[in-house]
Amino acid sequence: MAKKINILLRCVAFCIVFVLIFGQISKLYRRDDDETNEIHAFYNEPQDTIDVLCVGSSPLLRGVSPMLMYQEHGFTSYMRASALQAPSVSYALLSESLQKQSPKVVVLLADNLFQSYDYAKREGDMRRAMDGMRISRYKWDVIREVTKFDDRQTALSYLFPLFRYHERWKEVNWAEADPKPLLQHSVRKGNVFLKDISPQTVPHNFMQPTGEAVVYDENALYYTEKSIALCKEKGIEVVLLHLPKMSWTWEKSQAMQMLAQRHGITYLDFDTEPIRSQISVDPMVDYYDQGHMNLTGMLKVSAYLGDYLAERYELSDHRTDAAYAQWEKDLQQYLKDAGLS
Amino acid sequence: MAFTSMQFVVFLLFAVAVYYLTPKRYRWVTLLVANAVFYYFTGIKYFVYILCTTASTYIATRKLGDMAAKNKTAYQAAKADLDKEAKKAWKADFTKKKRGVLIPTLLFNFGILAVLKYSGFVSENLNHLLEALSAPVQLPVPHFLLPLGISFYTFQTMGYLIDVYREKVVPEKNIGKLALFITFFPSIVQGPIGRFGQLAKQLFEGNDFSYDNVKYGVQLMLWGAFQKLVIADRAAVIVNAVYDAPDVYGGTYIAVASLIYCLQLYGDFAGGINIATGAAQMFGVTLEKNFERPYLATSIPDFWRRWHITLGAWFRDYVFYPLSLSKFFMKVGKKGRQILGNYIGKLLPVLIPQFIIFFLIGIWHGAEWKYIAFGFYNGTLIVLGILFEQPLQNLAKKLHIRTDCFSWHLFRILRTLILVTLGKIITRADGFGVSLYMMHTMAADWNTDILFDGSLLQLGLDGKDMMVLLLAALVQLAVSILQECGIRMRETLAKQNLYFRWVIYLCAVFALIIFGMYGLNYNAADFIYRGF
Repeated sequence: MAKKINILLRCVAFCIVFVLIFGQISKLYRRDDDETNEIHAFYNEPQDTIDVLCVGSSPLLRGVSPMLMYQEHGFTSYMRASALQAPSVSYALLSESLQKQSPKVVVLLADNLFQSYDYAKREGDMRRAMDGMRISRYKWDVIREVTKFDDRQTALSYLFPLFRYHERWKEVNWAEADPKPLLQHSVRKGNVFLKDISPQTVPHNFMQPTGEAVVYDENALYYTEKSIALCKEKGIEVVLLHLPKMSWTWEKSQAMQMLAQRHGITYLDFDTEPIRSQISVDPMVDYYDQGHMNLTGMLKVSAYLGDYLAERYELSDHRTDAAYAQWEKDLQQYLKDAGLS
Repeated sequence: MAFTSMQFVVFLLFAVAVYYLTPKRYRWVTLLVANAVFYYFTGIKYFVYILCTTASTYIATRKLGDMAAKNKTAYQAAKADLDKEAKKAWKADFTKKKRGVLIPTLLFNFGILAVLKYSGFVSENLNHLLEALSAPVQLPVPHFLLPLGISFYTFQTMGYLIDVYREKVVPEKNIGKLALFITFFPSIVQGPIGRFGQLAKQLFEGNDFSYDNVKYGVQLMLWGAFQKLVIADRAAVIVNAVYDAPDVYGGTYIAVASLIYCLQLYGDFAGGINIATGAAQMFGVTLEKNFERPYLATSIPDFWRRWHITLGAWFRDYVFYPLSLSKFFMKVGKKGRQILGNYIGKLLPVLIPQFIIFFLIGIWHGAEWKYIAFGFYNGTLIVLGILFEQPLQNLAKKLHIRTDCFSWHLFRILRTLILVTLGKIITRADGFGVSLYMMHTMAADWNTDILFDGSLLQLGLDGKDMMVLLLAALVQLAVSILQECGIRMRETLAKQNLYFRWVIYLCAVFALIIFGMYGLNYNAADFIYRGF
């Protein structure tokens, strides 16, 4: 019996050592990505402290700053967004976020409603968000969908990213590399701004009717409607959002408007004329590329969106609330990092 | 369900756990269910073929068993009244009756294999012939997908049938147990080809849990996965680059790629066998050895005694001996001595069956002319080796060449390696003609500069990958040399201090995880021997 216990203890000890080393090597080889870190840092936000939750793809994380909205209006928000984020991932992020947070408003950026998402081609983009997500049934659902679509991808590599990034042994210098754990606390609250300027030319007949036929992507529509339904079920207001993009069209805007009407939610389109004029987006200065705002563009978009949300949704002002003291500290750090202080 | 997939690891762990949790007398049932699950995930649509083989073999062996029992009783009763001639006639008559069961069963099962594996090849070649004769007919060319491990399980099952026919083993009365023997999942994919006499007890009698068996099994599986994922799949990148465009590369590239192909094939096949053997050991089942450091062989016959041992043994026991000792070949030997002289004549009953065996081994590898050429190549080398063994020994004596020293041993190893590599070119090249072209290029277009000027790094592996391949190959060579010196690696390691062992185990596991060629952007080659 003693021998059996000895063997068992040795096996357990060996497994513990293995897990510890595995964890360290995983941190060493993981792809250090801002967006992955921002997705992960969300988990450490205290329960029920986020007033507005924004979910979507890159225009959101580039174009909207939770900290600037907090500075101006005092409500808290977080961008759970990554570049080329799949609709299924957006839904999973929303679902898991609502397990811990009870926002008054959910902002859904759903520009990708008209694009089909190819999990095989977009594997790298998928991983930006997925690598930052904790293991949950929502993550597992996405993994199942992805691996069903593309059998080259394995569930194991999503659950333990070392099995995906092990080939980075050629890039990483063991002698110099530090294991990089995922970010635990973010002062940017999901906002990854870009400072470069790329002057844009507004296309001829921009946002004018052209007769373009627009078709919803079935999968994107499914997850967007599922997201809306989930919010409604929990009594959360939904804002369907579109941020400035040079390739946007009047027909797409109309289709989004119709979708919003159908579900009885608000649609906010930053490419429609009244808003463009009001925020004075300058194509020569405010764009990082044709589909993303840079830092100056983000200031304008965040200011408008902050006003819009504060006016319509009775959001609390936490600026003098001691429970939100950390937000004040984060704000100062954020302004410093962004060169805005 | 590939052996190197996590799916297989999970399945195996689950099967092992359930096996030892099952009451001892029903453990064979657990194994049978595990086989069914494995086959379900790997190729359920071909289940009917394995079912036909199991059913036909069961019926035939039961019939042979009954016949033997009845014959024994009748013979015992009549024995006293029979003279020598009558006993001989009795035996001949009984053998004839048994053959009436054996031959149709062999034809049926090898027929399935032949139709599925070779009918397309035969039709294609007959069509070429008909075309050459301007015949107005063309035969349909069927293309069947091969059931998983059909060559392996057919040979294993037919070996059992012949053993029953020879009354070497008692036929299994329980069809479930027979099915377990035929479908035992670790060995069904790529062997080793097991013998009923060796496996039956281990499979049917419920083995006790042994920590050592599980530990050694896991270690062997790790080593096999290392051979497959770190060595073979990395080597495959270079081999594929050169063999996919043989007209682009000069002789030195082809020579390097061919040597690396030897490394790949061994890592792939022996790696797979080690995983299979390790998995079986976790259930307390010892599979037969299939490799014994083949690239340290000192001659071609020695190589074939070390490479795919169970296939060679199968052909030796079930084809070579029956042929070589048959009345026909005895007569051939006698005639040969009269016509060709004593030396060659007495060797004929060995040489001709040897040639036939290698022809069959060639065909076994695949339905293509290149495999037939490969069989002839090996057959010819073996026959020449036998014929010239004595004259060459005499020549060495006359030239005062010492044959009992290391340098001679090394020379023989290298010579064998070169001959084996030429054979591998035949099987790896895209057709026999291409292999001849590649061999010609090797002889005519030689440029050793490419070995040092970085040209080899243009074949798909960068310097770091090359270094890993080289180091991993050296580790494999070191293990082979130590084993050749009689050192049993796992047992020796088990005697070391705990901390040292853990360092070794952890290094092995993480070397596999980090340096293994798996995952996205890399198409891990399927086990090459799976298709056979």
